Amino acid sequence: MSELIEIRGLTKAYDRQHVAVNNISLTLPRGKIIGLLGPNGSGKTTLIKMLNGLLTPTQGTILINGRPVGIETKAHVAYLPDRTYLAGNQKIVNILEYFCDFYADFSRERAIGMLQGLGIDPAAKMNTLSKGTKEKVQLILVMSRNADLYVLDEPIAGVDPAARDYILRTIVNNYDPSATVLISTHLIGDVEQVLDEVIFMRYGHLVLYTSVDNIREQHGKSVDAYFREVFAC
Amino acid sequence: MLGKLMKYEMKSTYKMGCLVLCAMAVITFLGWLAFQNSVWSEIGRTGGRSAVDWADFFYLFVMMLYAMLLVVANFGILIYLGVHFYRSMYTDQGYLTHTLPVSKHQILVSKMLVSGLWMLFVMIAIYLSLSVLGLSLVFSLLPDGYTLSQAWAEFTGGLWQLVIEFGEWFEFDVSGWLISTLLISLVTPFVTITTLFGAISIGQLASRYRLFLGVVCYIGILVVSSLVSSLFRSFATSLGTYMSSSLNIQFAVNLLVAAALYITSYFIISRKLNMG
Repeated sequence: MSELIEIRGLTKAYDRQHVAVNNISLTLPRGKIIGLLGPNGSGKTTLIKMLNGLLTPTQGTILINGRPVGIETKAHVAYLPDRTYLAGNQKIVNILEYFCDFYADFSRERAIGMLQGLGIDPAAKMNTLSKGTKEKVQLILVMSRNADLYVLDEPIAGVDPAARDYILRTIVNNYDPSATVLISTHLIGDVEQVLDEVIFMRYGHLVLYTSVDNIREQHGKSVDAYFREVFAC
Repeated sequence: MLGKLMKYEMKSTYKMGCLVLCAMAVITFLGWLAFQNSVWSEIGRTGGRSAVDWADFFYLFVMMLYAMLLVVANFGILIYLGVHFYRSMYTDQGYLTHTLPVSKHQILVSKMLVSGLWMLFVMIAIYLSLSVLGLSLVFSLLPDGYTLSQAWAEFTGGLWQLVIEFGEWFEFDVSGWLISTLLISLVTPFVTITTLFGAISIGQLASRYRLFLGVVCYIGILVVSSLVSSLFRSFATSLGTYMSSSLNIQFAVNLLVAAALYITSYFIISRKLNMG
């Protein structure tokens, strides 16, 4: 099966006035780094949450590896949310133990190696770390899994440019080439260099799904420039 | 996976649970200390003393503090477990909980079992504390020449005789009542926790003030279940029937409510989860 994700008629409506995702149908392949791009409020995070079972769709279906979102898909999807979701009083070493216990594909050695590379003490508690370091820790936990799908929601927002480069290098260097990485961001200029394909969303609708090379060849522009053109205010 | 979930749930709650139990031990010691005042032994020997000492006020204050701290310990652990459940399920930490490769039933059951265990431990600690205080009081009131074992034998024998006669007068099964009381006591902490967690989950259906709504929901459920129990108890035709069935009726209603709230919680986290 070459397609990893199949989305059919996916809709999330909170009420009649607030439709966050509106009838999206999409098929995402394996082995690609895909940018999920769009302005604030376009439905990116809502789509991501539905992929991870954190929101129930109003309509439509999601299949990951041919299975609906549930226990089996969660065992093969590594998710980095756009917030700190680890308890502050937890030590990193205890969190590693937690991930080892619940995720069969988690590599403790890889995680320790990345933590040491950044000079982060595994015995440190989360609430003693800076915001940027917490985000790095969370990213390390995600990228230490041998997942089929990595879903990263705004992985470089709120961190300094040096940290952004580190995060992007970590993503590229540590993911399984047969896996798919879905990166949601509005900092396109920073992420464009690692993307294979892009999805544009606006007001909950799918605007565009194409390869980065296609955009550059057909429009003669970078993805960032084309995005600004498509979403010009 | 259920075992792992319970392991981590216990790890994340044991510090507060142990703190409450240690506090219970300290409270019990304070209560025991209050009964070391000579006024109690003088009551046993002479019926009391005419003069009041400043120390008597201190010991009276300690007794009041003891009673208050018992209540605080019981409600404190309940509030802590409720807040812990809310944080781990419906705040940012919920992003980790709900993306684990485990079933919703496993998530709920692990939290309810571990939290129920802590409630059970605190309940047992309260009963032990009261027993220690009771024995301490009895020992303080013992007249000269009386040993604790003598007093205990007379007390238990007399109490059991009284209970049997009470049961004969009012025609209710004392031993059955005692057994059901014990069983109900063991299960009630889990029922209480399931009810609290269900109310918190219902609160998540609101768009704002979710935790406040959960608390209001919990209080409302307690009031309604008490009213329903009272209604059923009003059908008792004799004091004996009332005595033997009162606790069972209350427990049956609470159990039904807890079962309904478990199903509701499961439905909410399966179909109505709305993180963020």
